[in-house]
Parts: sequence; C-alpha cells; structure tokens
Amino acid sequence: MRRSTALILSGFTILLGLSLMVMGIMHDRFSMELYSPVIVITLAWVFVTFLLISCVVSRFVEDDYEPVFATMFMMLSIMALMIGAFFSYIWLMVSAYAYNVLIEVMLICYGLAVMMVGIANHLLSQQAYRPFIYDFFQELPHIYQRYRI
Amino acid sequence: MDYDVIVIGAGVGGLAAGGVLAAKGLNTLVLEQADTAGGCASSFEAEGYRFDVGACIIEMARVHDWFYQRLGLKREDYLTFLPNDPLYELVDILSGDRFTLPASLEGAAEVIGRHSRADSKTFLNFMRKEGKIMDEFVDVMFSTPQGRLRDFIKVFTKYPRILGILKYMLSPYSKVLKDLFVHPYTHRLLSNYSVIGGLPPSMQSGIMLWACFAEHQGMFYPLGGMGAVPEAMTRAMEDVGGELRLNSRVEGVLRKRGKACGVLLSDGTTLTSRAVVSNINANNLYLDMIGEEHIPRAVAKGLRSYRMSPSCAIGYLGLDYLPPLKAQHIFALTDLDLVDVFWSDIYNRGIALPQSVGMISCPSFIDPSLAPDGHHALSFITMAPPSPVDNTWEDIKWRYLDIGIEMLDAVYLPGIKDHVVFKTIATPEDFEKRLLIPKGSIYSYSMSVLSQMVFRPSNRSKCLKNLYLCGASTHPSGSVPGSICSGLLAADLALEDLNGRREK
Repeated sequence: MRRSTALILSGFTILLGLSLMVMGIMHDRFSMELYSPVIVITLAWVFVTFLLISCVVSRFVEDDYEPVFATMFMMLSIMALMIGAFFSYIWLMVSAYAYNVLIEVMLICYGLAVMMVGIANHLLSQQAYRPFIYDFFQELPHIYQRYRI
Repeated sequence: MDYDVIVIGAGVGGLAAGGVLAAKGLNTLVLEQADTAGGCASSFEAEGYRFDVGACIIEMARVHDWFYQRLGLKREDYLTFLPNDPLYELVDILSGDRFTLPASLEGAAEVIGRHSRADSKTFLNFMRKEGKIMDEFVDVMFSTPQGRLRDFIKVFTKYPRILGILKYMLSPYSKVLKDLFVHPYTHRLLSNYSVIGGLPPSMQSGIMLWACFAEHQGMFYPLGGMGAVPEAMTRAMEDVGGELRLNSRVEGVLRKRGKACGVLLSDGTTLTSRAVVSNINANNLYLDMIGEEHIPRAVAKGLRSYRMSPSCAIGYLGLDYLPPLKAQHIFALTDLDLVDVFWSDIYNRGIALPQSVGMISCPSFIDPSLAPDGHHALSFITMAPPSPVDNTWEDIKWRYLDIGIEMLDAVYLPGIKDHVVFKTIATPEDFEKRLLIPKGSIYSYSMSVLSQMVFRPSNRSKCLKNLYLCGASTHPSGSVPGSICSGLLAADLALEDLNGRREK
C-alpha cells in the first residue's frame, strides 16, 4: 500500500474513532428518540465502510502487513454489526436510563478500539516499525507478571 | 544473627551494595562462588597473559566515582583509568575502509562529514541537544529505584524535559537513524550502538543512540585490566569494614515468616542475617534458590517471559608481537539491514558464525603490563547462539576459534595467525557454567522497552521482605555502570528498611 493511502486510511479511522467517543461522552445532550436511530445508522455505516476497506485491502496483498490490516478492519466491521444488532434488539427490553448508559459505554469503548486500529495501521504501514511493534506486542501480555517481580 | 547483611555474588553490583552497607556501619559479608570477584568484569591469567573475561570498556566513569564517594573515598586512590583516544579503529567489512574514531564529538562529526556534511551537522546538533537530554534521562534512571508505577511517573513529572526524547524511546533504532541521517555510511558508523544495547537495529529502541553520546563523554580502560575494577572495589569495601568470602557457593535463601533471613551454603553451613542482597540473576534467585513454590505464579511466569540479551563467544589470544593497531579496540561496521540478518541467523536460527566478529580488544596496547615483554594479549568477541543448532559448543568450539582467527587474519589484522602463541575460547555455555549467567547472556535480560524500568526485576523484592536485588538482571540495566548503580540502589533500599525498623 502506498504511504499516502495508508496515511489517509489511518487519519480517517482515528477521526472516526474520536467522533464515536465524542458521541458517547455527549450522549445526554441528545434526546433518546433521536439518538438511538442515529447510533444504529452510524454503526451500519461503519460496518459497510470497514467491510469495504478490508475487502479492497485484502485483494492487494503485498507483504505481511496487509493481512493484519485487513483482519483488523474485518473484526471492527463485524463488531459494528454485532453491536448494532444488539442495540436494535434490546431497544424495548431495558429502561431508557439503562439503554443510555449501555450506549455510552459501548460508544466510548468501540470508539477507542477504532482509534487504536487507526494508530496501529499508521505504525504498521511503515516497514521500519514492524519488527519493533511485533516485538512490543509479543512482550505486552507479560507486563503485569513482570511488574510483580 | 551472624551478620546484618549477606550479599550473594561478588560481581560489581554486589561489591557496590556491600561497600555502601559496610560504610554505613552494618556488619556485611559478600559471598562469591568463584575464586575471584567481578564475574563478567573480571580478568584471568594464562601463560603470563592477563585477559578480560567479558567487559573490556569503561563508560560512564562517573558511576565508579559515585561508588567511592558513597564510601567516603576517592576513586583515584584505588583505581586508575587510562583514556581511550581514539575510541576505536573502525573497519567497514563491506568496503574495506579503515579509520579511527576520535574521542571528541567534534572529531566524530568530522569523520561523518567525510561522506556527508549534512549528517555531520545533524550529528553534532543531535548529540548536543537530544544526546544531552538522553544522558540526563539515563542518570535519573540509574539513580532512582523503579519499584512501583508511581516511581516511573515521578521521573517524567520531575524532569519533563525527558518527554522531548519520548519519540526516540518509542521508535526503532533503525528508523531513528534513517530519519536523522541521509548517508548509508553514517548508518553503518552508528549501527553498532544498537547491538551494545542487546537488540538488532529494527527491534532496539532509538534511545540507544545515547550510547554514542556516552562514549564521546569519555571511554577508558582500567590500569591492570578489567579485573582491577572489582579488585579495587573489594579493597575499598574491606577498608570500610566489609568482608569478602571467595569459593562460597550459596545453595538457597533462608526464609522465615515471609522474610529473607540468611543463606544456606553448598557445604551445608547456614549463615543468618537481617537482610539479604542478591547479585545473581533473578531467574536463578527466585526459581532455584528460593523455589518456584514459594513465589507467586505470576512472578514465575514473568521471569520466564524475559528474552535474554545476546550471548557471545570470546576468543583469547596470546601474541608474540604487537599487531598493527591504531587503537585498543577495533569495531566492525556493516549495513544496518545486515546486522538484522546476522542477528536472525545467530539468535533465531541458532547458527554459529565465527565470522561475526564484532569487536577486537588488545588491552596490552594501552597497558603493556598485561602481557610478557614484547608480547600482547588480544581478545575478539563474536555474536554466538546459546546452543548451536545440531551441535554442542563442546564439539565445535576449537574449530570455531580457528575460523575466528582466520577471519582476523583475512579482514582485520593480516598476518596475526602466525603470531598466536596461546589461544583459548569461552563460549556461552562456559559463561553459563562458570558465571551462572542463564544462556551466557552477559547483559542478562534484553533491553527492550518492556524489559526496562518497572518491568525489570525490582531492586527491592516484591515477593520476600528483607530481600534486595542488584546486578545485570535488575533495574537499571545490564552493563558495568548499570550493575554498579543497581548495587547502590539495592543498598539504599536496604538501609531505608533496616534503619526504619531500628528507629521503631
């Protein structure tokens, strides 16, 4: 993938994640009637966009980076679909307050995940970062155990 | 109690801890399994030649001064440093170019400027600004215990200037070099500093460029060989009341109600103390001497999760002439990417490559007393796997040594093979057996970002009270100055706890 393409995709993903988080934090500024369909539509849009990105990228496999990248977006896409389905389903099953809190938490967490994918994509799209990042992620699961020593 | 404090291991870390504790009036005993102190920073004699076991350079000389100052002594009364100028003779193994690297930053910039003026300017600017901040950061890390997350955060809140080098810390060494400098020659010149930190350029943190700054602040060699360092530290420790006992191997650490209270020696003797300082590798301490069943499972897993820093094989040669040298040390230069390839072949695939000569050191070039008249002692260091694939070190080590000598003769010092009158080799297996270093890794755990600071074994044990750790496997890092500082930190923590208790 070209550096400029990778940069645009990363920037777009980070912005999207940020906007989802902002939506989550500002949830009480909207009325429930308006808010719920907006979220479901947003998630559906996220799902379609990410699915398209992952399909396009996985067609142009050049090295070890593209499959990782495509998998990340595919997972985000599936997550968006599942979250959208979940919130459509529980619409009538919980109180408005509980629904509101759930949506807030979900948006912040999902927005954070999307942002992290954007940052990871930015780093992994640069060949020089890959061994360093892979090594970092290999050691990452052990930090708690090491901290205990 | 037999002693106030017992120190296990007379490496430079253990001697530093023992010295500080003894100077504070505590009845301190340092136990060493070998017949000499110093571990990796010691010397050995063979047929009139005196060779350095492992370490052969003094960097951050101020750390040695810190130790003697803490004992109320002067380093100059115990130990003399001979300056290395030029620092190295550099041999570009791809082009065959040979040149010397002056000790001053300006001199090094001039060498870089022979190929790229822009790089020369960048180098000077970088070293004067970021290099200085990196050095400040290292000083802070080397003098601050990193037991808890708040210790780590405190460093950044107290010294916010350090945030300016965060981008180098979180970027790979190779990328930092390529972003800063344009000419491949400059990349080659600076490639070896990543290996000094124990990782290849693609995996090492960019902050290791600090090593270049540190070397240009002064590089020395101790009069009498590297062994003079632990010998002087031992004398200083004994002068302030400490005691060193050689040939005393510790088998286990005694525990009582969650506290360390002494040691069990291999001859069955038990020695009791109020506190124990361990200078041995943290894996050996926790998993063997204390026992896995007595530590939390997370700690055992954490210890096993560390990747070791590179192991090496060292060839020691006695020569009947002075080889054609321009500096005490010769360093091999090669492409950044090739260092990664070598690394992968040796440490991932386990291939023993005697051609991977990284550094050659001829200490008698600067201190003739280390060899008989007219003769010289020389050692060469190669990157070597802990266990070669499809072979054992015992089977291949002499052949490995001979190929290494052929390599010296062909590339670095033509004609040397006709002047070798004594030769021997130490492999990673030998280092593991003699010095009890797991996998023969002289820097202990690798120096990746997540094996440093709060993620490296703490100087105050979190598993057992009254137990303190120092040496290459603990904070701040594996190296002679790092180990000395770990000893000072461990002693400070022990004093804090012991004095606190006394006051109560």
